[in-house]
Amino acid sequence: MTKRDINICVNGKWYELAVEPYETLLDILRNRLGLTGTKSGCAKGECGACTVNIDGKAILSCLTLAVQVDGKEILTIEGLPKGAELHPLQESFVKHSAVQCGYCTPGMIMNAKALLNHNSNPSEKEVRKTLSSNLCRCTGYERPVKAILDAARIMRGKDER
Amino acid sequence: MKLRKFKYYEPQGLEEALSLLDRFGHVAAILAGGTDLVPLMKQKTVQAKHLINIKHLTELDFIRGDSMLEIGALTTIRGIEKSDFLQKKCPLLRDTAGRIGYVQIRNVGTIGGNICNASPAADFAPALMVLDATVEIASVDGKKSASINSFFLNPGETILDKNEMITRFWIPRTDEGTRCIFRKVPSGNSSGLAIASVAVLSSVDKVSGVVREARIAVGSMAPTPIRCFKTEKLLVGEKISDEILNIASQKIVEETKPISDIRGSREYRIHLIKVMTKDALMDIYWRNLS
Repeated sequence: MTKRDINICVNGKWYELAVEPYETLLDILRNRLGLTGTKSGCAKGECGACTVNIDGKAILSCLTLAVQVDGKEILTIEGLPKGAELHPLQESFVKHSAVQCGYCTPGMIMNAKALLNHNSNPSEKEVRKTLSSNLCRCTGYERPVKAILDAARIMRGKDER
Repeated sequence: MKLRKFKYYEPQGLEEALSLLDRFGHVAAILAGGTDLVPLMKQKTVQAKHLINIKHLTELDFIRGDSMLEIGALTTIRGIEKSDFLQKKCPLLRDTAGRIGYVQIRNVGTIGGNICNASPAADFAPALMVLDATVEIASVDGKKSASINSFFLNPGETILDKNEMITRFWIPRTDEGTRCIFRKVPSGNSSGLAIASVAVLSSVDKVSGVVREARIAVGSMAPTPIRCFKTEKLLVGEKISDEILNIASQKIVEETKPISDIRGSREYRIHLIKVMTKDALMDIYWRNLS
């Protein structure tokens, strides 16, 4: 009996799960909850592909044990759209063709989401600094940077309305 | 990359944590943010049979104090980076925090973890060293304290016994007119580990340009972060000039033992530390005049 019961809220829905202490949040999201939008890249905290939001902050799910997030609210890429409507960040990544193979994209978007949570009007420098922890090996950063700045602008407009 | 099995504990308070540590310390690891520990456990560099998660020890998460600043070991790097209190009381720690790793790491990594893992590249170490910080160490036998300047022994090795843990840092207030700077050149990959780093605390006489006080500590330049006491001694009482800065930067090289590794060559580290230290001292000198 090594398993532990945890309660976590993922994308607005609460789950009660019995987890092994050595299972990571990434394991749980992908293998238990079937939320495969969150990617496993290096699995040791260097590539940012597994980035999710916990209580509105960006963290690496590959370095986080499931037992560490008991009682927390987790947001993954699957939790961003409202029904059929994509989140402005997702919409903007599509519009700017900021995706090539797409493997790093969920991590980038979730990192950007956390940035915009506390800074609705980031400078290009701030966006670039934030994205420095998301490794992209195909297309580079120009388009994701533009996409995030554009999404921030659109989201500010929505807030003001 | 998977973790090996281990037994897991969630002590509800410090006393319980210390008693677990006393029982299993020789084969246990303490989990705080986990941003250093979990990768080390995945790579089997650290093989812990027992993992003690101290997340419930919220009494160790604080920033407070007046003439003596106190920071709890479980305070996150992000908490320090965003602290308005520290902006006034100790901007050096705030600036240093902002240069550690990247945001996903800073959100969960802690100051205690940064110091306990005893990486030669631990960024808080040079900053705490020039601030002459004191480390509070707890075990079932009680509490004691040690200077941060004698805390590190080897890469990954500190003066901590197997049944001891860090609980807080004490940071004395610096004198009026003293300025602090942290400089770092991070490696190109996203981890942002320092190829070389330096913290400088100094006060320079406004009129004469004579160095009244100088404290210098460097990271990634030796098996542990180190204070450069000989260089400091050489600087005090001297008037800031190109000549004295050149002599001082040469002295730093003599005091350190940089190696070549995947992040940078020995020669590059020597170049960086000379430039960064001179630049930091010059910066303090000029800011003092303005």
